[in-house]
Amino acid sequence: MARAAERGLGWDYLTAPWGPKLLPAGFALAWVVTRIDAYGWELASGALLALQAAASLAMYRLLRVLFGARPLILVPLGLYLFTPLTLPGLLWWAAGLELVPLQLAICMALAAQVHYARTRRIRHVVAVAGWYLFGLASFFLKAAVGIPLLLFLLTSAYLAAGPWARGCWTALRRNLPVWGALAVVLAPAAVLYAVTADTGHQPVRLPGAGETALFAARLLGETFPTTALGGPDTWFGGLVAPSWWGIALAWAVLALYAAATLVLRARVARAWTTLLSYLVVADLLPVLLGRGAFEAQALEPRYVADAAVVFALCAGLTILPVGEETRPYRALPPRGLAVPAVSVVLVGVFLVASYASADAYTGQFAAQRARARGYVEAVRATLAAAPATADVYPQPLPEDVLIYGFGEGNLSSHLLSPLAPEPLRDRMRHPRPTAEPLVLAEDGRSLVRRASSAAMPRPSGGAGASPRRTAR
Amino acid sequence: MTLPVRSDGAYAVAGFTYVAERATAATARLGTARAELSLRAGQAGVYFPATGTGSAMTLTLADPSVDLCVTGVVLGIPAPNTTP
Repeated sequence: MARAAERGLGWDYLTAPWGPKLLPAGFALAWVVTRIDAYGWELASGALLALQAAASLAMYRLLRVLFGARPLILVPLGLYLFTPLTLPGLLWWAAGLELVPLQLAICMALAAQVHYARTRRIRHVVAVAGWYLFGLASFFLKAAVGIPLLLFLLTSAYLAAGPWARGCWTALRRNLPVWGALAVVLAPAAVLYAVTADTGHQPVRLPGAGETALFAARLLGETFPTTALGGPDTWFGGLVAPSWWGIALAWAVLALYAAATLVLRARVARAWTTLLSYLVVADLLPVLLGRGAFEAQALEPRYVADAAVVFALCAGLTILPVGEETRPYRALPPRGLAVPAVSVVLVGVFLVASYASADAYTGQFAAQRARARGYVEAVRATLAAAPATADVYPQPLPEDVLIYGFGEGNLSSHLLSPLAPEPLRDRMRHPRPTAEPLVLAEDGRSLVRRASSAAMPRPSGGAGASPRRTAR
Repeated sequence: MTLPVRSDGAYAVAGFTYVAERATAATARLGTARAELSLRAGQAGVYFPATGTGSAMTLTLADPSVDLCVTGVVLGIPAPNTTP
């Protein structure tokens, strides 16, 4: 928001790197929100929730397009709507600016691809390319590899006949306009990314085999399964901290479900392969290259938040037939009440666990959120009441208000100036020399003088440096 | 005159206290940072942004005939006064 407040909505602002990231779509939203109400959480979170609602509708549309209008599509839709996987992206606004529009882009691109595979109409190619571009503009690294991967895997696995190997060849051959359009969109975006991305503070390197294995085991073996299935049972700040039984339970449910679907549903291995491929290529590899040396980062659920879309899609593919399949089922499920009863229990436990996990996750930040909100509102009032000529000097924000602040990015001249009316806003960014610099009090409720009387020695009979006695 | 402050180029605010017999303009330099100051007569202090790299700050008076004695100098990031 501070960056949005300082710059116009132009190419330079939209394509400015955010570390190793490029997110013009998120920057555009941040610019609009900042111009209307800087640091207004209702507007900011409302905009993100509206995007999440759009992504949820897009998920529903994808399921309906792929499987048809049938009640059972509510199962994968419910999985997407209620899994705690998407939660970190909604609570941390900057993360949500990338993650939420990416999920919208994935769903819309896949739905357009299904339409193209069925109708061969060129407008669906344009739609695929357009949503791919939107995905790249939202979260470049994940979209660049993740969306083409999903398009290809879904098309080859379920929209083509025969064995998967033949389906791959058919998908390649029969969808050349789509692959060509993706390449046309990706090439200039990749050049822009290569030119602008700033990895100065984020060295890119593949860690050693041991570190890689540990990181992968944590991210894909603990963080993803526990969070996807309604957990984890405990959190440690923004990181998952599942108990051993939470991990075991998640894996047991996944294993039993996978075994059951392998028996009943044809082509089900393709769905699980699609999910695993996405997790490895789009969620594990980019994070591993940037953060692989820090094992604790593998417990960060926002790195796999976008996999909620793929997880729900693959859950749908394990129970529902796609129109193109001639024999979607290997066997009929057992008759009687066993399957409905187990399903109801699983869904009920998932919903209760998801609510409890989400409540525990958000509850941890309640005190910090209240402190930050109180501080921002106090600063807003203080600056509104301050004289336009006040010399408000840059200062670091309190550590319990700004958690992830570094260097000059943590200074009030950058972060709090959007809250000030002009011309005080400009003065905060470019302070003049003054005898009495003012800074905000720790609670933000007043402007106080900078230094204590002990910070600088008082004059003491000419004991200091004098130009008369010092060579100039 | 030369004031002994060291800076690595990170954002900082510099300040000094002084006693001046008359008011005068002055220029403070720290590396490539430069600030035009207006120093008043008597006992006073002045602060200004000084983001530059160097081991000393130079102060040049516009009127060299003014008798001025610097009595204290600081460089750092401002923080609210926490002492009563």
